[in-house]
Amino acid sequence: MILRLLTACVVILVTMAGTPAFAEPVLVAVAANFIPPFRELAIEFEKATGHQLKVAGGSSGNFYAQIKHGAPFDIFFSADAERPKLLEDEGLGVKDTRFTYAIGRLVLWSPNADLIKGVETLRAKQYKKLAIANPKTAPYGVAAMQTMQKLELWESLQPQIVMGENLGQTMGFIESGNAQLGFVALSQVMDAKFKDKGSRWEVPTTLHEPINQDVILLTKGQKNPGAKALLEFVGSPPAKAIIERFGYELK
Amino acid sequence: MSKKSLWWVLLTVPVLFLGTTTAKAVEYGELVEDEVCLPTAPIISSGRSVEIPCGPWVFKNTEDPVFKYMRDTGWISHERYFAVSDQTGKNWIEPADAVLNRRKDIDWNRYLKTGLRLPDWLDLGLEQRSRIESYDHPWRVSQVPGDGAPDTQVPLRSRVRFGLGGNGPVRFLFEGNDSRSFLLSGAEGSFRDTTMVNEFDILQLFGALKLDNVLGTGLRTDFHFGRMTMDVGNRRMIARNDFRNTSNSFDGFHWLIGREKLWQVRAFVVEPVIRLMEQMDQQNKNTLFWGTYFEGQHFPWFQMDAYYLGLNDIRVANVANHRTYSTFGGRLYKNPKPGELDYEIETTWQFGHRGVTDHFAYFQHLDLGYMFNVRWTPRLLFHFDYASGDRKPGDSQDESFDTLFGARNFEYMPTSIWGPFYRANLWSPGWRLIITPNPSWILEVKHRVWYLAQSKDFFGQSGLRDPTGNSGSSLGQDVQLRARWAVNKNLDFDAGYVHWFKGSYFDSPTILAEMPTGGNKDSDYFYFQMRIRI
Repeated sequence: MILRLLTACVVILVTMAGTPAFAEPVLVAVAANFIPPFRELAIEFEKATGHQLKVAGGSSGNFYAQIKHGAPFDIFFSADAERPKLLEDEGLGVKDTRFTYAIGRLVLWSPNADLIKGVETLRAKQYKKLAIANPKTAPYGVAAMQTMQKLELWESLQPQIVMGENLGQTMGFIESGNAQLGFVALSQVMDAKFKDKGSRWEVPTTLHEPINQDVILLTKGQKNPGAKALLEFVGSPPAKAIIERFGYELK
Repeated sequence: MSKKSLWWVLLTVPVLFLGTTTAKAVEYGELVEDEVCLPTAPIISSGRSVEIPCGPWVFKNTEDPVFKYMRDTGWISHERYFAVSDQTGKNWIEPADAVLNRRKDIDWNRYLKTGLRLPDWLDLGLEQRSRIESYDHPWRVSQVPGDGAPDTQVPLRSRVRFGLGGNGPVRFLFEGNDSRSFLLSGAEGSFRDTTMVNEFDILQLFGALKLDNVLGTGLRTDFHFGRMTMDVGNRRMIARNDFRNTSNSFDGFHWLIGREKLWQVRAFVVEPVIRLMEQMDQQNKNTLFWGTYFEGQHFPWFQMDAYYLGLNDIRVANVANHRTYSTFGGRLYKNPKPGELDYEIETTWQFGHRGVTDHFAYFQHLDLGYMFNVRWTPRLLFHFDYASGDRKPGDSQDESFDTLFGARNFEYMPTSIWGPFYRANLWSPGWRLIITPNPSWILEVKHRVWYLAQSKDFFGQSGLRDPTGNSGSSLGQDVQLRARWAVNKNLDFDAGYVHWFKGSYFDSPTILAEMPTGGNKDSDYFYFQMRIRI
């Protein structure tokens, strides 16, 4: 009898130990620019907690529209601060769970290793085209515009500026040579494909408003322990180290 | 310990094992609404009709299942998994022949390379294609005695690619090819030549130099030296044959310079490889092919190609078959888009000598299409081709157009053991409907009417000819059905059926006497193929 009881206890304990494997997965929406660091975060998070993640990567605008349309995401990592705030105001995000998980860094980059010497390269205008993301749709485009306004170059550079609809297209302009240089995210330049290639000038954060990227727990994820655990994990030192390594700053 | 207690302990073991297994790996995908509702009244936004998603929401995993399996089983690390999964689009590690050949022919998930944990600077790929095909009532002179019996074959094509250099400036590529065909209806009357059989040979073997940003101009240039295949323009004059069981290849030098997706110019000087069925292929110094080809994509509605190709082929003993041509051509086109018209015009002119006679020939092509902006995006396309033929055989002027090293399947009909029609002595109007139920499926129906341009000249490469012209020029018409299913980049299926209603040309006494018995009767052709690439 004692042996049976002991065995039953062992079974119950072992089954409990394995519960994360059978818990409800966490459905996460991640802005495309944050996917590379998030992959590493996800691995570490899974190792640490055992919670299962289902990750969708895409544009923040699309995710915002999907969430408003009833998409059952538990948590939303946005590329800006505006949309998480809107979701909170609209009752789709949980109050007091929103915070800035990363601050984007703007960089002037060219595949030509000899082109960019610093801000003087921008002033010298010895280039045909300069690519930026559209300020109407991309936070990094707004930051690029603010930088050039502060340097009093925005008006005079108008004939040379080409606009991409998003950061990916902007990088495409520069990569293909249609623009000799351009303002992109530092995290893009940190990608293995471009690391140690070309020349760059990291734009001082004093020249533009901070590019805050906020995360928010959504109402659907309120009762999912995995979602809450992920929110906590993103603020932990190991997670912060990963985020910084990918070219983001932290608050 | 009692037996019951022992059973309890034994039952505990699997539960213990299950309970301690690690959690399932992170999944990547997209959240989509599983159904689409069409609004009762059409809503148009940005020129496209709007479909309203209506749930339920489902998470669709978009990961490659084979790479995912390798990761989940620990065969490759998470980091390596992400690296290989990202090798698409702009991050594609392009092989050394990326500017020579169509991307769809050389881009697939490198399962074997990943499974063997090979580094990125080394490329390894295997491809195997199996097909069964059959047609009845052969018409070619060479197929006597065909007796109307079906010619059924199983062509097999195997290829191996081995590359060095990754995305670096200096690269090397070897591509081996083995093409053979098993006859299911006996050798007698079967179509069998070097377009079907080329056993165990070298398709490509070259060194290449790539410079991505020439002198800071943003231009890319590529040099290739060795044996290579080429797809140029819309492949009417130079192609790496795909449907055919064997492919053209060339020995020599190729240079390209351009700005991606805007313009490019290529120039080449090569010796076409002489394929031999069972021996190693040969070079022949008496055949030289050279040219330059410009492609401009500055304006979507007005994309333009212009080219000059030179050929000096004096390798055969029969002087009448020597070909010394200059070919000049141009192409204007717009690519298809939903809700828009598209078009393609190609005009090609040939000057020179065939044997001792003067050669002057031309080819004109017109496509007009429209892609409907509705589900499955049906595209209706009208074709017209005119390839000149020889008006008076035996005079001092040869006017039969020569398509050089072009491909035909994409606009005429399947080639391989079938393919009766060539861009020579031909005119043909027709239409085609292409629908794409989803990105994996392409369904086509085509109808074309075929005539000889000059009734006294040869019909294609069939060997059939009525020098009097009394047989007329009506070759008939064909209806073709085709379905393609790409499971992913690594596995695809293709099936097709053609019915050729033969025209009055084949019922004339002169042509009947030249053909296998029953060659004048309508022919049916079908094929089914599977291609696997790892």
